[in-house]
Amino acid sequence: MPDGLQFRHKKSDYPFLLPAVIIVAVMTQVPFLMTLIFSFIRWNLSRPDMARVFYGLRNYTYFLRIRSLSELHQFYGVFFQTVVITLMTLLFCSILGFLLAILFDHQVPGVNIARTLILGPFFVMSTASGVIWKTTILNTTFGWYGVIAKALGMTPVDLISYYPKATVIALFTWQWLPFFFLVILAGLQGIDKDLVDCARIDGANWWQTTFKIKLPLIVNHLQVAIMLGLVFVIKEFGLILTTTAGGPGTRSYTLPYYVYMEIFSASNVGRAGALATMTVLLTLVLVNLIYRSIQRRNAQYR
Amino acid sequence: MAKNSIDEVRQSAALRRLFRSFLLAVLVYGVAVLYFFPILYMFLSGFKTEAQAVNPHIFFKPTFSTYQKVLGDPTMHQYLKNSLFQVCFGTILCLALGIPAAFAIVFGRFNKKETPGKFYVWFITTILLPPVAVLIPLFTWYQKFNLINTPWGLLAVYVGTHIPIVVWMVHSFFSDIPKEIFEAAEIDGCTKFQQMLRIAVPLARTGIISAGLLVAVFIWNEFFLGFNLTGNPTATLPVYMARFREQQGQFVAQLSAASTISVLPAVIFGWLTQKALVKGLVAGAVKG
Amino acid sequence: MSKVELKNISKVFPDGVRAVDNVTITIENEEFVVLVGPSGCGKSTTLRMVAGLEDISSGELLIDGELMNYREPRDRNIAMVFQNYALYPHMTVYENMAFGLKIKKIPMEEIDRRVKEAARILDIEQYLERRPKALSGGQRQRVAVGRAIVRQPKVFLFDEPLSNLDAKLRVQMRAEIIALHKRLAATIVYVTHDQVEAMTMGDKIVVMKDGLVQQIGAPLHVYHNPANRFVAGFIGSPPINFIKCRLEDRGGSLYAGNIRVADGHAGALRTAVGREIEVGIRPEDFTIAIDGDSGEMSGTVAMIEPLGGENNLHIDADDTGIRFIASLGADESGFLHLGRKARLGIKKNHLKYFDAETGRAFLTE
Repeated sequence: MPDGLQFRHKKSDYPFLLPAVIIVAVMTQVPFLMTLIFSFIRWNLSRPDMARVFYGLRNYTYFLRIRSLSELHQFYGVFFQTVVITLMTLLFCSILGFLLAILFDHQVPGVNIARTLILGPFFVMSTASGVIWKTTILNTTFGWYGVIAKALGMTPVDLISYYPKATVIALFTWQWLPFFFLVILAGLQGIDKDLVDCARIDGANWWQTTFKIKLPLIVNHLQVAIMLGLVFVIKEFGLILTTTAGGPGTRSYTLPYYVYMEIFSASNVGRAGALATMTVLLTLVLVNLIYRSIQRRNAQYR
Repeated sequence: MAKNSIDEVRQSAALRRLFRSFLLAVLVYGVAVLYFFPILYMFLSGFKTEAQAVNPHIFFKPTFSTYQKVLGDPTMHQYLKNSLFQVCFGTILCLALGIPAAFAIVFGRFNKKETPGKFYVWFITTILLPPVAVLIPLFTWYQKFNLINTPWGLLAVYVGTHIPIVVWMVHSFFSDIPKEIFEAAEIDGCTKFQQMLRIAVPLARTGIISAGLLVAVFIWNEFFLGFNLTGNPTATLPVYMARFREQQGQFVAQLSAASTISVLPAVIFGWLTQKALVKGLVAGAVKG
Repeated sequence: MSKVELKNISKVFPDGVRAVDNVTITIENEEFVVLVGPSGCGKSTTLRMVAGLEDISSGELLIDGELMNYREPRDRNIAMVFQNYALYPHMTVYENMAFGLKIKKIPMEEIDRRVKEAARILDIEQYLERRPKALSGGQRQRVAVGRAIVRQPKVFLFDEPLSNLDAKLRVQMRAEIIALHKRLAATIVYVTHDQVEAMTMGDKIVVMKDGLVQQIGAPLHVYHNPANRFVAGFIGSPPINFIKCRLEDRGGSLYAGNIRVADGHAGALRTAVGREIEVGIRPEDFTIAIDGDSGEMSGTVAMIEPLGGENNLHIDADDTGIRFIASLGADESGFLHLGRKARLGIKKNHLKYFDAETGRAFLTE
């Protein structure tokens, strides 16, 4: 934009921006700051007799304090589970998403229809996919899993109670893989066809073309998918509620689920605030790690 | 002699290729159908009676009675109406507020050059915020101001949390429009508001429609806030679906029909947005 | 030794389009052959069939007498330079050049030797550790050529390698590729749409149109003896002028319109008397008419393109109204200003005659 134009109009365009900024701030930033404040306050909804007082870091130390290594607070377990579930989901989404995208990058008649089918689960509401999987697929007596296992002469174990984490990871992957697939496929289709031809002339076989040429060329897309996937997977709540309900015990709790339980079962606003704050911290740390690696890569390319 | 042998080689090569593409097609469609199967089966089970639905079969005598029953259910009507309310007003408000913001970020003039970039980053970071981080204060405020269990309370959060997505997507589509067009329009005497409405919006039409559809899908599917900020008369479809979680193997047909009705619009809308989804959410980020 | 033979090669795409039709070309050892033609003429498809990137629908491809139709590209011992260079963006220049060799499991010392050697020849030694993004267009072009050189292939294939460069760099790279050809004594198949490139680089040019070979020959031979109207119009800049007229016998002498056919040409043309023909006059085959007698064409100067040494005059002919281009020395044509009448002579021995219906040249050698 020419500087002359800029100086002639002194007035700026905040009126376009402010309504959105105000609403977003009021509905996200302000509540988050309040959450932060709550996390330093003793506040239990079920105990109106107890005054709300400044509580220092005690809401945090309640979860974080280590009395003895054998008796860690369950927070550590939940934290660990959250990280494992999120990272495993992202890992599976990346690997399977890449392989699937490679497969669907071929020119097969009507491949667009097939691609669209893969995309489906991404747009299914989490609670619906939870109940559908739970009742029609994973159910040991009436679900496909149970029926097929029996037909093969095996006794189906209840995956939801025996392998809750694996089940949650599998279902998260089912929901989020399409997104990875879509992004990676876009990356693959953006690859210059000449590069692939050139690799063929250089004598690269399928394996070399896929992992030494194509994979490095879509790493940026993959990283973006991982970053966005992370942001959304770490929030995921409905699928856990409808399948394992965090159970058995707390074996498939994640941090958002823990916050939910802390506020609606334990009614402890202060502690829930501390948990929510730590969830945000975890998100920020992980996002930051990925973002930095993207930046590093981009710097390398230039 | 040479002629014959090359024809043979040609034929066998053609056959091999045909076989390969056949195998590939089988693999592609096999994987796709298997992946989609839970949704497909849900759709099909809605055409079963409860007795039929107990056993997993794909082939059966279809009936419309289950869909009829679910669609005729006043509870279902209530949830459907609540969801539609949120989606319609939510999407419209998100677009109405988000488009000007994106417009100002891309084409606006501010005292400092880096201002628009800062706002853009700020909008994006709010997407990072998990809903648990906002739920607690909202819950306590809403209780205090009697907003809990009202459609307006939920709508306000939805608009607040989904505007950034509109800004993000529309931003990347606006960025494709050459700035000179607006300079020309300005010389023609177009006000800033007219420039947005008459030039930017029509040019970024497809992107805006996609952003709207995507936000509609997100709001339609949103569960956590809807679950915690609403009660019986105001709850949305995802909350309704969650209620089926305790019914081990019962009402499978009804569940399938209900979830099909809840899922289908989102899946169809979602399919329509797929191209823009990649462009809007990824293109900017890939460039770094 | 590396001789490439294309025998009756055709390419039919799945949608039924016949992109290459019955093409037969022999490329001798150490020969620089240029495939040239307008876009969509099938020249790139032909090259890609030689490379093995496209299947050959029918016909035979032989390299050194061996049938190559069903060999994978890697087994054909060829190297290709692509239009947009096709450098692997995630690898350094060195890695780009070494990639194909590493795949062939050539020992590291040998790879290193070859890469360094190629880098020296192409003067890109100082960029070996850079990534393609950090290079200019010309440098990328060199790397792409270097990547081909290190493979020591039997045949080099170039697919419009210079069309992404700016004009000055293009001339420079042209010279370098010609020098490289001499130095490596390589067999080269080179595809371009630019007839200047074809004329200046090739030992032999193959003019193609609509999937068909129009003419094969040495550049100057093709220039002076175009096989048909298309070749005549495609090769040469500014383009040849065509005059449509009837060939008549006036008292023993042949006349094409008002132009008297040179005696040397008359024999070949006699069969076409009475038919519609097209006369092709190259712009440089016009002369300024000194006296009234040698003037064959007259017209009004409609436009002048001064090129310094010579002027391209666009002239509207008086008799037919057709606009033709004459390329005349700047000194001798300096007096011809816009709107002036010009009387021009024609070097009759250089004229080309084509059948108006089929476009085929009457004079062939």
